[in-house]
Amino acid sequence: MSGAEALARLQAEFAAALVAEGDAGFASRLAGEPSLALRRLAIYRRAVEANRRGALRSAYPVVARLVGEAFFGEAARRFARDCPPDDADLNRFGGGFPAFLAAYPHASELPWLGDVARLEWAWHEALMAADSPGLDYAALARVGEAAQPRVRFRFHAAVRLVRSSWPVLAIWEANQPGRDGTPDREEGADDVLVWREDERVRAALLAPPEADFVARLMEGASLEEAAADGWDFSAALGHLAAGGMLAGFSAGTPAAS
Amino acid sequence: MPARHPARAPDPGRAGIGLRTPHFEALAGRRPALSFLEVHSENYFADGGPALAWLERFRADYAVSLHGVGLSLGSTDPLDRGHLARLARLAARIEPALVSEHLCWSSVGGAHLGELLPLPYTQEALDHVCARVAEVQEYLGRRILVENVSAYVRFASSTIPEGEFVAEVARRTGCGVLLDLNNAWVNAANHGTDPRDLLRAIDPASVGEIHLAGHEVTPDGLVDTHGAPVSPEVWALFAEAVGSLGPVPTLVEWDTDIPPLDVLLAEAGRADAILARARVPGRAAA
Amino acid sequence: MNPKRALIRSALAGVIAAGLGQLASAHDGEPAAGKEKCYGIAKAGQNDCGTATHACAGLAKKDNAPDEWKYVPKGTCAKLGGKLKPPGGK
Repeated sequence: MSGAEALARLQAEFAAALVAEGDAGFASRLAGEPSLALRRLAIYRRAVEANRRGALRSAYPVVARLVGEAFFGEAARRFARDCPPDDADLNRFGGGFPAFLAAYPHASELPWLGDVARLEWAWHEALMAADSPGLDYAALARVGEAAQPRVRFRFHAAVRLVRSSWPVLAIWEANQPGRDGTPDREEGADDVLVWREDERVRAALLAPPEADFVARLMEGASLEEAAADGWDFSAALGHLAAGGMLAGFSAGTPAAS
Repeated sequence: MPARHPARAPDPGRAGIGLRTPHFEALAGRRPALSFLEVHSENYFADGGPALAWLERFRADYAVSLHGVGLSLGSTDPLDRGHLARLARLAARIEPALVSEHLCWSSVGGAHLGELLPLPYTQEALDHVCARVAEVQEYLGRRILVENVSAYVRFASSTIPEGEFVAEVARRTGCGVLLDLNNAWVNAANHGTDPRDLLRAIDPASVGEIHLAGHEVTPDGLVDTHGAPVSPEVWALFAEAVGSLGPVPTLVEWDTDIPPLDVLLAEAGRADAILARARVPGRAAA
Repeated sequence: MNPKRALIRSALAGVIAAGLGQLASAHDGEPAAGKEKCYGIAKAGQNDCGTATHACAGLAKKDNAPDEWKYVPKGTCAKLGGKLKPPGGK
């Protein structure tokens, strides 16, 4: 790289002055009247914080609605301080927020909050996932009967399965625009399949055997490994295929793309 | 693969607007006459999904400008090749008429601040940012435009006037200038300088686009909010600029408190009228 | 053929037939439980804030009351807080 040492030092000091309150020392680096320069530096500090908070609020609108502005703002500030964005694209910021919320002491009265956040991140990621080519049905039809049990599917990049002990889908739906926040159900556990179809993100509640089956397929299990004895998975597999969730397959012994 | 519409070119005699989510439906339904639509490149980095599908639709009717906010051209962090690759993929897909970035930095030590931060105007910073602009242009295989940014602070170490710094980047790298007149006005008002210094320093031939936007007046100075109508001072500066530059593709930017589409179109219409008066004989209709 | 293999064969045949457009009904694969929810629009891109310097910041917006953030949240939580059954009850 170029020998931009002074520039590197200045940028490191600038960034430190933006995240820490103790910025008085940085005033000597700035031109103009020091107290005004520091007030203007604070414009940047507020902007950095607000941009990160705004990105999180956009990815987690239900969490924001559930806990209110003040609580969300402080949680976002602490999360961003501990885990600042590692990508310039703010749409990608916040994947660690559900785990942060799950462990956030001030949210201990809301043990389901982290799971609601996981569902929101799944939804957010589904929106931004890459397109996948559709399943090659003609090729699937050519798989011989003996090899069929070894078929493993590759999933569309948008597919997520969120498994929770709480009624997270009911909470999530109750906090969509136009709803007042009162969930239809107060009991879980919700296993929620999230995917994208026709440029829309969709979510469906799965019954436990279907969720187990989908989870195993997503982990790379073959049909034979994924299918529970005595449970007819035809409808479940049909749903995955019809929703465009299956993007490819292999019929060999090891899982391959 | 559906048949691709050929990429469109902006009409320099008309203004364009920033394409923002709340206006997708209205724009697609009404298709008003506009020079071009500009998006923030990073919002379309996903290789799929509804945002990209909308942009694919719009590119059939409008010239598109990809305006990046995250490349961090002035940072001393290594240039993010992943980011650049995503930009290149988007450019290959959309075939934009214009690709631009900011003359600023936004990341340090791998942490991204999500903000356009000012550079000190020193020889060292100039060498650094020129090398980076050249690297980006080589990677993308095309000329980019670089934008002068709002800077609320100035550095004690700066030795080069902003206009000369911007002009020199363009001269050395062959990149174009995205002349943001609101930023020029905000900086001039905040630091007690003349916004025309910037205009005078820049080679008119290098100006590939003009940005107009609104700011807010606060007790600590003017703040570039992109959340208000273009101010009278910036309109005056625009008339003066295009009077000497001739018609240049011009964008009305509005990013927060986004108004109804008609408000934005009215601002663009006002810019159109000024651009029309700038059609001096011999320079008109490039 | 064991029952599981027979099931695999018939399930794949159904998927293939539907995929190749040989089945009249596209609704053969409805989820076993629960109805499907669909929320479709594009979200606003977050990177607009980067240029809208500080507008997103609410400028000189005053902070909240010092302790407001840490107490029982004020949002729609109130509509369900305490009513949800803890897991493991079934």
